[in-house]
Amino acid sequence: MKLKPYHSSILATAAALGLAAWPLFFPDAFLYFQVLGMACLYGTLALAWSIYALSGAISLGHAAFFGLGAYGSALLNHYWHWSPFLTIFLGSLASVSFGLLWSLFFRRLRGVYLGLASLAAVEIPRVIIDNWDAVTYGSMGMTGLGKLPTLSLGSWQLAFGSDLKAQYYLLLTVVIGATILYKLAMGSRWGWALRAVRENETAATMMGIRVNRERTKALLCSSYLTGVCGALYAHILGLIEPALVFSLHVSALPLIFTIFGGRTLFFGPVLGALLLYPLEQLVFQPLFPSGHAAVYGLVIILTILFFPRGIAAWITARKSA
Amino acid sequence: MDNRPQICLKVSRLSKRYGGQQVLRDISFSLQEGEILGIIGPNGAGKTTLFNIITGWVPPSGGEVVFLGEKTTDWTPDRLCRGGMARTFQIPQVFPEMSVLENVMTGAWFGQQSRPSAAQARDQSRELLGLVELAAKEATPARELSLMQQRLLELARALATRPKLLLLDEVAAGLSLKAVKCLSNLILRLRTQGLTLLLTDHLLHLIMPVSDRLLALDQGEIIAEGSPQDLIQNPEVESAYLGVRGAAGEEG
Amino acid sequence: MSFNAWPWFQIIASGFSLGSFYALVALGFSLIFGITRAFNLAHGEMIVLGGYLAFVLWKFYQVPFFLTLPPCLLAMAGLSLPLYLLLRRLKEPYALNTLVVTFGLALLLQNLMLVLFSADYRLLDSGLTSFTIPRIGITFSWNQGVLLLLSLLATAGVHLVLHHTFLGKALRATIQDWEAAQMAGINVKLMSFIAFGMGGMLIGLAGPLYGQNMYLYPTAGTEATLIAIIITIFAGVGRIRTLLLGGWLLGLMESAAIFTVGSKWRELVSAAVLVTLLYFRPEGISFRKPG
Repeated sequence: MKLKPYHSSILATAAALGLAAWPLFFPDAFLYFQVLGMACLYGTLALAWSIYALSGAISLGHAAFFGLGAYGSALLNHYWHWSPFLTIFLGSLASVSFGLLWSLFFRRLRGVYLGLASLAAVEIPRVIIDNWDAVTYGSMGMTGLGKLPTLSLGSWQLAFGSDLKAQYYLLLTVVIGATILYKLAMGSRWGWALRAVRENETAATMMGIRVNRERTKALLCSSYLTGVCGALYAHILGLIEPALVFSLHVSALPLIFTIFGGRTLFFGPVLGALLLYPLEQLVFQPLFPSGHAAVYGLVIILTILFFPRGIAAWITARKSA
Repeated sequence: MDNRPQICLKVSRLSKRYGGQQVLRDISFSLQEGEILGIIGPNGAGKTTLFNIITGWVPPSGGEVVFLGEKTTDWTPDRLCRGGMARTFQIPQVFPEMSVLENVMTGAWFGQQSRPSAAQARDQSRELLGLVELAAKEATPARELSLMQQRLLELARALATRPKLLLLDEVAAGLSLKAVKCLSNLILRLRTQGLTLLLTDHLLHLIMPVSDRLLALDQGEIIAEGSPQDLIQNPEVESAYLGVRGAAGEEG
Repeated sequence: MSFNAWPWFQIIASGFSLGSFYALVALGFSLIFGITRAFNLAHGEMIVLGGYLAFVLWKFYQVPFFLTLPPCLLAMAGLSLPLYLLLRRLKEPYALNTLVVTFGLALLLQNLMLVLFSADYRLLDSGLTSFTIPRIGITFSWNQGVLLLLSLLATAGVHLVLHHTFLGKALRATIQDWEAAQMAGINVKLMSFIAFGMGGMLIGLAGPLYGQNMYLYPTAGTEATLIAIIITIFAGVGRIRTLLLGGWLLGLMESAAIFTVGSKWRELVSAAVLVTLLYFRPEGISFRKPG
């Protein structure tokens, strides 16, 4: 444990620099900007999921936060025509409110039963939004949402909505920022408390740690960041519908990326997203145009079976050997 | 402040029933600062339930607990910990993946009233690991320790929260005679530092030599109270206690 | 305010047939969970897959509805065995690992079904008509009748096996205490194998019935999984009669919801019931003695 963080920080910094630098050499690789940009978004989503997982909770229902953030932002943008930059941050508060209800109702649930409850929790906002036609346009969803706006820095125009390269850099910045925050959180006093809660709740309580409060804090941070990811997603696509954002797919991805990438290291969730999402989009989508996401199911089954600690653990084990 | 001998813990008319079963009935006793009180009784006498109520894990059906002058009956265990009460469990509760040092640091970092820095917490923890003779193992993950070592680790971690009152539940269970001797030396040393202790044990070889006073519990009631020498000659205690000693001895 | 009697009859009639089917849906899940402690989150997806199989047989090979049942039974039992071999290899924490792995399996199956059958809604039309009871005016379709009858028959069949055969005794012993059963000389691995086989057959029966009464689409399985979980938590494992009661209660609640607030809110019932149930019983599924 003493040397690994140091090694892995160097590794992660190198990877971040590489991701920032490659467009200089391939300025027209638009497909790759798009795919890697989305991979960064999913990496952020996986980090958000992992914040809650730090407290020992395995959620199978983060699509609830993702969808609420997406809808919160989309509705503010649609009805009040606020800039997406504002609605992304305000709309995600819908996810936090749901997180508060979640922590209230699922306070006593642990492990498997928390997982089952979270699976059901997605259905509640989904069915409501699906049927509240007057406000949310129901299952038809909404199109023509405001794209991400353009940022002008002097003569330098960053069109996040239309220029895929600018969008890629925006999402890369988001994921790097989230990774740094996640690493800081893991190493903080709070992160230590979460680790204690995760390892032995009885002992953690006995050491004076307010178990429920720490876990709720983790959930609220996690739900907000997940909501931001959902909101970004809605504005990048410019459209939204319940089946798209409240899907099993969205709940499963952060879990799969995190377990594949490695739960114990700070960059594990992002690593998983950066490896798997491009693999799925660039390799499997051309092969199976409609069911390519099946590969995620396969990956998670194989990961749990053959290397439950994830790819990141394997990389660092080889480094230190 | 007054100069009378301070009461550390006062338990009055505590009772607990689970469904139709009365586990504890009208338990009252008090504990002065710096005292070591032993609670003896056969398995199932209600010792662990009593501990769980005092430390806030289980709400009592009736009665109250006063700790350092405050009524703590409805306090949560984590609040009690920060308020100066620490305990160990019959089955040691360690953080399995943390190192021994990290285990103790958790206690120092979160369990004290003041909030020490990480460096202070580390120094204090090292000192305590020296006290329980686990310093050599500080980098070992806690899951790799033996039962005895886990007990000592739990003890060190409890001490790291700087408690005024320490409750040790069945701390000698499963330990060799030699280990028990080490432990009783340690307990006596802790008392000289001003710690108040409440111990349970269903075997007598740890609790007899260290306790100032003993309380005998049987079927949820206090059947006798007094010095260790008095109590061991009490016929009621003998029948309640020694009657099951053979069976208990097999486990111990 | 005309307080007409017929909706109540209608609610009860459709509630019972739906509820009996829900009990059947839960039965396979509960049997597998009870004996192996494995959560199968792909349970609903397997049911939907069975439904698609029957649909294909009916649509493209003109197999009559009732004759699609035997091949579906066999196929789903056959599919359960690889699942058994897969889940057997998982390590501690076992329950959580099965949850994550079968969650992945659910995703895998959903996408496979998307490839094979597209996202369109499909309904298996068994050609049965509905009839109206004169005077009271309840419309009762033969589909509902078949649903009720086959679900109850299967449930009764499992009950008979569990309570009146030697195998059932061994299965019940395994449900109650895995270690004690092993100590008593019961081959627990064989029991797990049998549980997956029986569970698979129940899935294979539920599939065509699902396709005949509800629309099939690739992501339809989540709801069936939730229903299985709800009823299993409500009833505990190994108690068939309580399971049936749970199914009926849920069926009645759903059909009451359809008649009062509309069918589009029906899906909310199962999710809300599960959350409420877990709120009041956070310890989850109980292993009390089958009553």
